[in-house]
Amino acid sequence: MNRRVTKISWIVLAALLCLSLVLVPGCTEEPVVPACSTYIGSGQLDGEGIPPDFFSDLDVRKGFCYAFDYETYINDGLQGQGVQRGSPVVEGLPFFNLDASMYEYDLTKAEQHLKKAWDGELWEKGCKFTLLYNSGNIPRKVACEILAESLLGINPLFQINIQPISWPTFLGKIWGTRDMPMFQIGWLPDYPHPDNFIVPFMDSTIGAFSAFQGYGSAALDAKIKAAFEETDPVKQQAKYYELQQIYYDDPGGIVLAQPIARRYFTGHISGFYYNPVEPAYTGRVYDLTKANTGGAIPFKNPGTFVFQTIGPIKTLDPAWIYDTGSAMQVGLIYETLLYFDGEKTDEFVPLLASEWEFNPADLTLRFKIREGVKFHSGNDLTPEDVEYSMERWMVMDRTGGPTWMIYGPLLGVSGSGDVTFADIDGAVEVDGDSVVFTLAGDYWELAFLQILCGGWASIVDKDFCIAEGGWDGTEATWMDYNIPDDVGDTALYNKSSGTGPWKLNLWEPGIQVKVERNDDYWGGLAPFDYVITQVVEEWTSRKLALLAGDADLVYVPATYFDEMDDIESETNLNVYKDLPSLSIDAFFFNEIVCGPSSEE
Amino acid sequence: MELRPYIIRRLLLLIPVLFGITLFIFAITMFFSPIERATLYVSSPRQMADLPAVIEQYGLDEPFFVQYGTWIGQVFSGNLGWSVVVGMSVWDAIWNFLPATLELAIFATPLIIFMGIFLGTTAAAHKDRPVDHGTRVMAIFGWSLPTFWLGLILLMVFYGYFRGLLPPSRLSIQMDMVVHSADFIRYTRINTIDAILNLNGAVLLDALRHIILPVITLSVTNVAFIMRLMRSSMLESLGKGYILTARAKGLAERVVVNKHARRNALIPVITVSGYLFAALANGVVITETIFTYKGIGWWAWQAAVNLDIASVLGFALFNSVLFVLVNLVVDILYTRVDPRVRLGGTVQ
Repeated sequence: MNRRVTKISWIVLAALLCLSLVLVPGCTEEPVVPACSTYIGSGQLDGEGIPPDFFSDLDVRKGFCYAFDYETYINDGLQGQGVQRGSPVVEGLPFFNLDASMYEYDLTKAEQHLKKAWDGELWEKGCKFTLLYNSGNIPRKVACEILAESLLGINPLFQINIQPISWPTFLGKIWGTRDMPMFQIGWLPDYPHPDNFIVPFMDSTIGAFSAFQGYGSAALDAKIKAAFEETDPVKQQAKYYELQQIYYDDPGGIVLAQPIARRYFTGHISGFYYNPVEPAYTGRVYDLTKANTGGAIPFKNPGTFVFQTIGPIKTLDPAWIYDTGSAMQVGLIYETLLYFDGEKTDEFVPLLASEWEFNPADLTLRFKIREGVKFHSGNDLTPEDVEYSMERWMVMDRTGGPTWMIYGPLLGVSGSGDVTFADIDGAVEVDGDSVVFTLAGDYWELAFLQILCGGWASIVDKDFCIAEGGWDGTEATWMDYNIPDDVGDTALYNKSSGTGPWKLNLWEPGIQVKVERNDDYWGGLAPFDYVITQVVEEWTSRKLALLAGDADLVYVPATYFDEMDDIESETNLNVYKDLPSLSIDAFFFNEIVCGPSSEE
Repeated sequence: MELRPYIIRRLLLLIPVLFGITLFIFAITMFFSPIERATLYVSSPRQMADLPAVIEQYGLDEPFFVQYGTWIGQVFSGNLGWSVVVGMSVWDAIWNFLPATLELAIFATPLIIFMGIFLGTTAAAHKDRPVDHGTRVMAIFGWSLPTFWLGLILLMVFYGYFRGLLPPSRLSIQMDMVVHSADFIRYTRINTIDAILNLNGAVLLDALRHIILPVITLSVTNVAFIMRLMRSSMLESLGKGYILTARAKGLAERVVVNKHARRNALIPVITVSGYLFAALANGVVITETIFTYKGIGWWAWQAAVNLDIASVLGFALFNSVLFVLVNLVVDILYTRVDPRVRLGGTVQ
């Protein structure tokens, strides 16, 4: 028996090996298909497909924009929690135009445009293609269905299939293979400036979406740049209004809705105010209070704030973070030079900087650093720490990270590949009790102040960081710390010494993050001894925890607002509704399916 | 044959198994283009423009055998790779998340086995009578219940309706602080065992309170597995000649069933129990997610969904080792329980 078993297992293993050898050559070659993408059918305008440049025709795009039922999308897809917008500039951003032109659901106009498209050939022959959405995303599924149904109703020759695919595959198709004729994706702000929204939607070379859609032109790029660099507020408003109108006249996508958010706290928590650019779902925890107000939900864990959400934390290193989960924790442990004033996105209050001043003559932005502030390690906060934090941020420049946001304003470039150490050193300098930044242009003032509010601009403890193996601040070693391979390679990945109201207590990856109160905090003791963020993927578990008082706030996706409405009256929740979230989803047109050279 | 050479021979077989499995999985993951695999490392549209740089940095467009060779080389030097989904090395991730799953397996397996044996024996002893039909229906009903449905219902009743009586997660916030404090030594990171070793009754009670619901969920859905095997094994055993002799001798029915029939019927059940334990220790994703009892199943699911291939391969390695070892233990146990069976030989 023993020998036979061994023989059989060898045969099975040999078979597996042969199988993989056969499979593998097959998967490293591109499969041969008639059209460059499986989603455009025949690849010709013959009724069995669409050509790769189908959406380059303006009438096609306008026709589709009129054929979309916005109201049903908001009601069915977003449970009514959304407001239609006409352009990427949404409410809450400076220069938002409430009266901007918007498409409305008009089948007659849709028909008119579609009849004109491609010199009437589209109407005559019809079309066939596939719409994809990332599986599990209900609003995007609803949008695909609405569009397909509408177009079929206008002309039965318009045949559209709908297909779900997984999120990683979906992203790979948008920016890699580019083989989807249309795709839906949303934009969240890096900083609340209209430029941060317009560029990805409209810039033909650096736009995160438009550059991959084949949208835009050099002339439009120049307009975008001019609007950003305009210093006269009246003229700037006119320019941004014009850009918003351009997106209506020449749509790069069907602009969907700005989602309306809600927050569900237990009745014992008060003090929440909504700032749309605040990355933490909780708002500023420092401004919350917890007191027993009675009611159905039990009052548990006094002195502790418990937040349950989805999505694990990636890192605690400020120079690496680019996701809201990590940003929230960094915001509890570290502080920035200044922060947004309450609910405003273009006015600021001093934090680690006691005052600042911009000198348009030499483009310097001078921050006076607050005295008497200590890091968690006991070291004092000095201007050298600020200089080090900024330079370290520039030096690290991790792939796909937030560093472009300091390179742009200070040096006018996008990454560390275009600069020398002397440039980095010279961009930020210590001058007595202040730190001086030299901006690349005076139009950067507002945007740079906004960028400095982000967690990536947190001030780190220079001596602590060096002691933990971080960069020593000199030219000699900077290349060793440039573009780290793995998120775990940085000194501040899971160790920290910040100035914030809390310090790190425990981080169990994928499970929870616990911070404990910093008793030496310069701004006055924090309202909570502990802030615990737990990762709970299952919605029902979160909901039950909220109602049991085990969590003070949980993440509630819009799909479940109705469910919460039903129970709201029976229990003491503190609910904040109608919060305009600073994001926008759009149904983008890919004008060059498969990329610029689709004859392969 | 001798025990020691047998064990060594079986353990050596582990190597080709590991090789074959990882090669196979690696080959399948090559169906994803380098771009799709690169999306693991980015999380926002802004970062997407850097995809080509990411691909180059992680060598995602190298030929298949180069990537596999690199990975094998790393494994031999002790580096299983970095698990991006939980931000630690794959090796650390396995050791970090295994205790939770083991805790569930340690509590659920005996419960399932004893319940299965009891129900199977009862059903067989009262064959074709209402008790038999009743237990079989109950067991199959439990087997057919979707785990997520049962888990959520239990949560809604015992955590929701009964206002926090049996909460999800492994420990309450207070006990979690105790466990992480300097006074408490985490020997195994299995909370119940550590509580006993630290002589801390409060933590033990809290851990038990949190484990009740997930263990019930696992038991109800898995008991049919053992119960049906036990029943058919018992029926076979009850039909043997020596049972007739025992009854003829005038022994009480209870003694006939429990002492004579059941012991022989237990043999296949014991070996299958090994697989049950392995299947549970493998990770029970749904139970772990619903009850926030994050173990190795949850980790493997996150890795799979995010195309974290290093983690998937690490998990495959862990699984292979687990099953080969369980197979080995079960085979040895089989020879101990059934004297007719010889290691590497045939049944006489």
